[in-house]
Amino acid sequence: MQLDNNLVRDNVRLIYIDDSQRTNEEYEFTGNEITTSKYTVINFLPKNLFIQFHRVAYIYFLVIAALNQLPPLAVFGRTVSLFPLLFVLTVTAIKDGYEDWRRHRSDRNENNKESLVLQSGKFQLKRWKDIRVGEVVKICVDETIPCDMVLLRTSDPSGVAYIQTMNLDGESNLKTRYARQETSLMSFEGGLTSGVIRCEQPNRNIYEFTANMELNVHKVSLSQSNIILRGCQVKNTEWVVGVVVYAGQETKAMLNSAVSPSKRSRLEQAMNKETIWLSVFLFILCLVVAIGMCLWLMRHQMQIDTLPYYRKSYLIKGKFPGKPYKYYGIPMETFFAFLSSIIVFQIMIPISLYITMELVRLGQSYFMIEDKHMYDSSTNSRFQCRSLNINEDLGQIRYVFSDKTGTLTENKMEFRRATVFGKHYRNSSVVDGTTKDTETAELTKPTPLSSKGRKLKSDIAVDAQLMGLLHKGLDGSEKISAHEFFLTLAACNTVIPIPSQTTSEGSMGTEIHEDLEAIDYQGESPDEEALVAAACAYGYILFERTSGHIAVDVNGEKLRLDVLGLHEFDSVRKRMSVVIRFPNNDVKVLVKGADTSMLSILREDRENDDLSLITQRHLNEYSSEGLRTLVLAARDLEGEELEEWQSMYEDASTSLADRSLKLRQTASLVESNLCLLGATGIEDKLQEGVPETIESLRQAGIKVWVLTGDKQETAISIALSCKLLTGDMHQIIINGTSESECKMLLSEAKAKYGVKCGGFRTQSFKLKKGAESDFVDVLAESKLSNLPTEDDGNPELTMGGPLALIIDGNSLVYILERDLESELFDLATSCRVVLCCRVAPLQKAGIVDLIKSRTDDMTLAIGDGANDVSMIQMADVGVGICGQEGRQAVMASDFAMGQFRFLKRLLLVHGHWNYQRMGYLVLYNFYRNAVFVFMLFWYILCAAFSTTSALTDWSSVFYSVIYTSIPTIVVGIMDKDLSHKTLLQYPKLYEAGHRQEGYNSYLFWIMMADTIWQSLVLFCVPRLAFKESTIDIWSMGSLWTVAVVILVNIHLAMDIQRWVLYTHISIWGSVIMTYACVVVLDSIPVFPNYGTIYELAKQPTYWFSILLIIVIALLPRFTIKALHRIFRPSDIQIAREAEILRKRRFFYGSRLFWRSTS
Amino acid sequence: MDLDGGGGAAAGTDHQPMPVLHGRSNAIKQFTQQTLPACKPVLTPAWVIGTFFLMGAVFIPVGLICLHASQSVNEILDRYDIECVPDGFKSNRVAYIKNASIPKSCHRYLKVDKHMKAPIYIYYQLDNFYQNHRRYVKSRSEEQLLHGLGYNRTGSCEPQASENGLPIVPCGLVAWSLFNDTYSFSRGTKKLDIERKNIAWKSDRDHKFGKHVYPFNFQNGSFIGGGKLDTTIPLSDQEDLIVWMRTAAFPSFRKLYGRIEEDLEEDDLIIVHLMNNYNTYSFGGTKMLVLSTSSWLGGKNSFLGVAYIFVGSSSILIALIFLLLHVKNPRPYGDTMYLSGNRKDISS
Repeated sequence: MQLDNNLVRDNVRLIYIDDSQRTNEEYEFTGNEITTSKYTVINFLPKNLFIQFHRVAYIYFLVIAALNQLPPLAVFGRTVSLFPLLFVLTVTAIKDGYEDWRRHRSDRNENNKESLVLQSGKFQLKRWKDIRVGEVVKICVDETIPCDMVLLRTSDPSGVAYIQTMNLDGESNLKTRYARQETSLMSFEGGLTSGVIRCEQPNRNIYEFTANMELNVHKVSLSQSNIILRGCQVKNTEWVVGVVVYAGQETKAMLNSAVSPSKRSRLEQAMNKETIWLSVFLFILCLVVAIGMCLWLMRHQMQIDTLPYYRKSYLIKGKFPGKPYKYYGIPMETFFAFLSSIIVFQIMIPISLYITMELVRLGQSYFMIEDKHMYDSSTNSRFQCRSLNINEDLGQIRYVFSDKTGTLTENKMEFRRATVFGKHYRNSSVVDGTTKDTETAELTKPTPLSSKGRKLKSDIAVDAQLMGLLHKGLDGSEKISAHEFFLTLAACNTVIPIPSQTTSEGSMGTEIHEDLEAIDYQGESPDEEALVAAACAYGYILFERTSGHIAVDVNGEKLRLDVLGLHEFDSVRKRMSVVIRFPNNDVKVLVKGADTSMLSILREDRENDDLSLITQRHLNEYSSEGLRTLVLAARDLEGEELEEWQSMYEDASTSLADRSLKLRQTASLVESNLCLLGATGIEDKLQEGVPETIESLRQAGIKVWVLTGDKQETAISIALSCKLLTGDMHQIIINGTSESECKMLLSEAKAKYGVKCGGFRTQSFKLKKGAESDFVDVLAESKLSNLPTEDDGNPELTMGGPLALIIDGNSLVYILERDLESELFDLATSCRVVLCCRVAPLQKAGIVDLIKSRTDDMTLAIGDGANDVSMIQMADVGVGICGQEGRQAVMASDFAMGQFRFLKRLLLVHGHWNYQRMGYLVLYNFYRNAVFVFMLFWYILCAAFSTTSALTDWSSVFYSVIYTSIPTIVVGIMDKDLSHKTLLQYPKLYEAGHRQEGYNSYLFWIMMADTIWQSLVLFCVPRLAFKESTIDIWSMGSLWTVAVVILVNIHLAMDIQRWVLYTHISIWGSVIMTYACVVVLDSIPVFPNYGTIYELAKQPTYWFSILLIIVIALLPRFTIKALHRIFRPSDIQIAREAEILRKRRFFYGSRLFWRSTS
Repeated sequence: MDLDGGGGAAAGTDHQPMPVLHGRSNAIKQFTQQTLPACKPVLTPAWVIGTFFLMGAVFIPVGLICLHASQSVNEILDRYDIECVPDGFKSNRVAYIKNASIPKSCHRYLKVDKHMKAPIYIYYQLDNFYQNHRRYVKSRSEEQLLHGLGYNRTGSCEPQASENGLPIVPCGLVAWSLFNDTYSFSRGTKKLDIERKNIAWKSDRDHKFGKHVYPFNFQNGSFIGGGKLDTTIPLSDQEDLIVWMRTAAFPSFRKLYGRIEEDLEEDDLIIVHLMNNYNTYSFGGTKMLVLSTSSWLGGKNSFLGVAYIFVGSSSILIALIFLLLHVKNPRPYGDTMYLSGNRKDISS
């Protein structure tokens, strides 16, 4: 009733089954068409221009170009002034168009898929984009679901459907969904169906769905288990029929794929700040010119009419007798001087930098893609750069948020170890004298049964000893234990065996004897699958499961076990149990669970105690190896106890209120006094190189957080095996079920480990501001260890040892939605490791946002499943793993790669390079343009503040576009300070990016000071060398053009760390090209500068001046640089020296070696 | 935009290079893996000190040579704009210059201090004349200079594009303000010949100023800006105009007037007969006559020489400082123990 009220009160959506017209009558629901593209052919030009002009830079361009069209301001010629703007617009438009075309293509593919839709009583194919809310859709096995639907009927008479939600939450196991009994018998074809579904408005919560269905007179409530969502796939169910409730953009999948915000790199943001400073400079320069003009005019007010070089008015007998010519009074003239100087100085704001950066990023991406160390040969996938805006951010990452399954691990479980009856068996040993190569395992399986060609997820290496024990046939507790051990493995689970080659509905008995039959196991968790597969390998083949019984093939002997009851796994008990009746009417309860929860409920007698001690020892061994452990136990159930349990179970499973609690109580009845059978160790195989990668990242000062949908135990064990968690860490576990509990846990933990509220944060901020600080972790540790120990009861805990925070999704719900966020932040940032378990996709994003919004630190999210999409989009940098779980993560990511371990190379090597390159590129571009502008400015000061440029219009425009752009691009793409070997060897070098060594405001101001010096030299040397000479304005301009180009190129050359052929070509080539352009421009008679260079080049003074300019301009820079390098080198410089020295030593060393041997 | 291209095919060949293509594929691999052979310069103390010493060693001699060249040039400067105004007009020079009825001739006596070797260049030097003013620089029409009256889009020449309804050739302020002082020289009683041809750039004469373009309606207005032009001579031969139209880069500039093709001996007295026509008085400009020989480096200007010597000696000074610092405070080269991470480890 409560539900009803809710639905009535709130805005509900009414859906008439199989009546889409009526459904859409009142309110037109969104159709099923999806669009992710931005443009169409028609609106491309206006919309693209509109979007482009959202960039302030382009508006600036436009305004400058427009200003230049005004007659009193026409500093440059018309075509010349439009050149830069058109150039930028064209390049960007081509890029945008290409990107959108790709989006169009993928949209079209998606929209044109077809599904069976009930149309006039028959299921007929219909395109996805035409499907509407209210229609009834039939989906066959392995098809993808086109929209969110309420299940009405499935091929299974009981109304069960299995779906795979991989694309949605990244979990690869199968989920069961049910059609309501009331509808599961309805026939759709031909017959009219009537029914109304009231459901909530579209929302993005994929784990909840509230609705009810009115069928004839009945009211049936619908929940999460009755709905199947877009993007999921139907598995193991021949067909399902459902009614569309949400379509298109309103589906939960689409609502969850948040619009990816366009990302700006951190460097670019910092750069924008400096750009404002440049604007201030520009403003000051223009103001000086304007004021100068004003004062000059006031002083010469009486003369300007007759001044031969000003002459403000027409002649008396001229065209407009006596009228002023382009003279509008002193205030206006001052204003115009201001505006026209903006035009002249426009490149102070380095607009071309935006294009340059884009081109450089393109080149950097090329090298990242081509890097063969990031090529995954197993999946044949290369590195992909999907976003071209944030290459340099890779060099400044401080937080890595990683998904677990499929990212850290391969998502392949393998049964590795077993201890049965106190005896340890390892599976990777020698079997029957044959070496157990994984490749040949299939062929050398010893038993006939396991050679059945079952399709198992992995090959199980069988332990010969254990196998022998099972086949020995002798009685004894050890043998019985082993038997029960495997029986538990086979029976105590929820795995569904699926014969892949079902031939008929006939008797299973004949089928299992067919050697070709393959059984595919589908379970809730890969662990269970691995266990069942292991049991299978040892001859205990689970081949059938219904709700009433399971059938196990024990070494060829079929065993039908009735399932009396099943207590599913829950996070409180941390175990599951099944009560089965053997054919001989024995009843046993088989239990498996986490060691902590199991060891306390074992039977307490001597024998069992000894056994449990040995087993515990084994368990510790296993978990230290990073294996996921489970303890298995069993006992007989008889007489009264059985009856009592049965009645309780009956009662509990049918009760409506507190069912789970009652079931738990029931379970505790049988889950006691158990007889220990043994334990298993399962390996969730880590991807190659994961521990090393994590260790390197940690050394590099990057914090790795793991956000996973898995349970806490699994997450911890994986964290242990990938060396994320280590034994010396103190684990803080936040596991609350209510707000207050979370709050309490948080504050408790903080008190215990001495994390101060906010204090840490401000400190870390300060550190970051300092830009040369140590890594925060170090500080946190030292701070913790310095705490007085007498404060708490347990001094051991506060002493030393980094902290690890483990928090689960439930607590996060309370924490992230309330004002506990900051508390969590304080705690989490002082921990070295944070593990979040059982988190929903949007929670992942929430955690990323927690860090992003509260610090300046760069965040990177890496994941492979669709459940990571929101996190990937939220983080500053999103990395997708092209794994088994579809391509959603890749599609949403900025970078995509095949393996987690490539992350190390991506960050430490490419990230470092890209950051250093881009940082230098930005600084250099600022310098390059500013030096030019200042040079023009000094000249204007001695041209009576009239905005004369000695340089020709074309040279002014070409300067940043043609004369000097190519070397910066080449250097931005190809220069590298250190080899990848050094960078990987010393991960600490990555911290240069954290300290913002490549680009910071200190460097900016140093650079500006240098710029002013260099521009003064540029101006003064020719000024003095040609003092009182016959030099004309164009010769001077020509000299300056060439001098400034050579100067900035030599400046660049001085900073190049690695000279390759291309660098030489670009640097010297652009000097030559400048000369060529100057020669060409001076060879066109209609230009006033005609012939200048030919005359100028004859004068030795010209050449001497250029040489002098370059030497004097760069002398301070070179001196200071040399001083720094020699006496106060940075880490990078030392590493560079070491690298080169090592190489040399190696070279000389080998020579010496040769000499001594010969 | 993602750049994942052709997939595995190319990558496959990377792993197993064909022996035949070894050289080329190796080069491609080096390129894509960013391991091209490279020169990696490091600023080691030896390099730095060596560079500075070398710079000193090169720059000081160069500076000395330049300085010597500049010293060898002899110059005679004579500012005449004030002296040439008759006493009665000293207080109102503008009235003097504007009054066409007052004779503008003037005599100056120049003493030659040192032997001057031919050719001796005659320049006039103007100060405080902003030939680089934007209004002025733009006020010309290149097309008209080349094509003459046939070209009539002379908007850039305003306000000096037309007069009395007729177009002006050459138009614009630059031509209008043509310098029109004239000089002639005599040594004792003998007149010195002045070569006034080939004072403008050959490229200007040949291609920029039309051979068939004659002055038209020039300097016909009420407001005379400067010199008049002989309407029978084509612009390409009006070398004074061509020189003038190469507008100067700075407000004080020299322009070539002519050459004296014979040596001047020490203690010679040169008499200059000049016509002081040009009006610099209205804006406070100065006029100067310059006689100068030339060296391979040009005119008399010691700046380059001094600057080179200065830079050279500073380099040597810096080199010495570096040497001293390095000897006193050497740092092990490329020692990774100095990395900040390691330093921290040591200290803690």
